[in-house]
Amino acid sequence: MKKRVGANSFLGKGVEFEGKLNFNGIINIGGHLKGKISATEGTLIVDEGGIIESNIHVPCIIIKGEVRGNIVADHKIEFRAPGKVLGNIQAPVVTMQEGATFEGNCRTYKAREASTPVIDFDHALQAREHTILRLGSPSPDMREMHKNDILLTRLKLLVIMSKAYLEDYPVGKYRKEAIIKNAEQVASEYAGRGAGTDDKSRKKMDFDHVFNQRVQLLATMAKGFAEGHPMGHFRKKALGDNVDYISKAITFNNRISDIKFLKVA
Amino acid sequence: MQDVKIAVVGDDKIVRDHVVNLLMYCVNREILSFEDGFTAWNYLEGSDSPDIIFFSDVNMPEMNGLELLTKIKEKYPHKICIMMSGDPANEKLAMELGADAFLAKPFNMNDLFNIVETLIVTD
Repeated sequence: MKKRVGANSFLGKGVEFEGKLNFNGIINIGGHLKGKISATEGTLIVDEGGIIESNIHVPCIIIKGEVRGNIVADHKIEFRAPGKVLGNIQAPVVTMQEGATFEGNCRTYKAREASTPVIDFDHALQAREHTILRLGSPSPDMREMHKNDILLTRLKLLVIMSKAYLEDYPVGKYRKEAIIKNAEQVASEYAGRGAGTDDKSRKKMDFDHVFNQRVQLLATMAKGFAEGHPMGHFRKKALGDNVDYISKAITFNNRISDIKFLKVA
Repeated sequence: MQDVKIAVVGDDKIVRDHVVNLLMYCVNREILSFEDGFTAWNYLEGSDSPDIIFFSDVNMPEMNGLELLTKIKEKYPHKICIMMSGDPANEKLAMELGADAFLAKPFNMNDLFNIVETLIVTD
C-alpha cells in the first residue's frame, strides 16, 4: 500500500499500516507501521507506544516510541524518554534525553545549506560524509560541565548500580570498587545539601529532608552490598523501595535490561 | 577487549574522576587516569600495553587533547580516541584529526554507556 498524507496527520494507537508512507507536515505515529517512510519537509513524531519497523528518511524525527530500522534525518533526530531505536542513525544533530535508549551506530554530518531533496534511503547512507560517533549535548547547548551535572549523574549511576545488584547482575572486583567510590561520593556531596537551583530536573528533586535522607540511605546500602555485607530479603526489599522512591523523585526510568554490558563482569 | 586498557585524560578532577568511576563500573577493570596529555603520551610511549583506548578532554595544560590526538593518530592510527569538549569549535577539529568519537559536554550517563557499547564492548 502507498499512502501520502498532509500536515498534522495521525496514525493512532491500535492502528496498523504496512507499505510506503510519504508525508509533508507533522505526523504522529501511535500505532504500528511497517514499510518505508519518507518526507520532504516536516516532522515525524513516534508517540509513546508507537512502533515503526521501517527505514526512515525525514527532515526531523522525535522518538518517544520504538523504531526498528535505520534513520536518516536531514536536520535533527530527537530521542525522548522512553523512546527506543534499534538501528543506525544519521543526522546533523542528535539529542538524547535520559531514559531513551539506542542500539546501533550514530553518525553526524554537516547540514546542507540548500533545501534537501528526497533521495533514496540506501543512496543517502552511502553518499553522506563519513564522520565520527557524536554524542552528548547538541552544539548550541555545549558548555563545560558543572559540579551539579556530575552530582545528578552520580546519583543516577548509583540507582543503576543498585538495580543491577537487585537483579543479580555480576559484580566483579572493580565494579565493587566503583560502587563504593560512587556511594561515598554521593553521600558526601548530598550531605547537608539544600534546595534551590534553577535547573528544571534538579527542581524536581527539591532536596527536602526526606529525599536527602533517602539518598544517604541508598549510598549506605550500596556501599554495604558492594562490601559484601549480608542482604536478606527485607534489606533487599528496602533497597528496592528506596531505589523506586529516588527514581521517581528524579524522574529516572532507565531499564538496566537495556544495558547489555552489565550482564558480563 | 581482554587486553585493552582504558585511560581518561583531563585536568578537571571532578569530571575525570566521574568518567573513571563510571567506566570502571561498566567494564569491571582498572581505568588509567592522567591529568594532562603530556603525562598520558609519556605513559603510552613507555608502555608495553597492546592497546589503550583514550577518553581525553581537549582543554588541558602542557599538551592539550587535540595535540595528544594528533600524536597518537600519527604513530598509532588504530588506537581509539574519544574526545570530550564543551566547545563546539573543537568538534570539527577532533573529526579532522581522526578522533573516533566526540562527546559534547555536558554529557550524561547514557552517552557514556553508548560509547562503551559502541566502541569498547563489542561482543
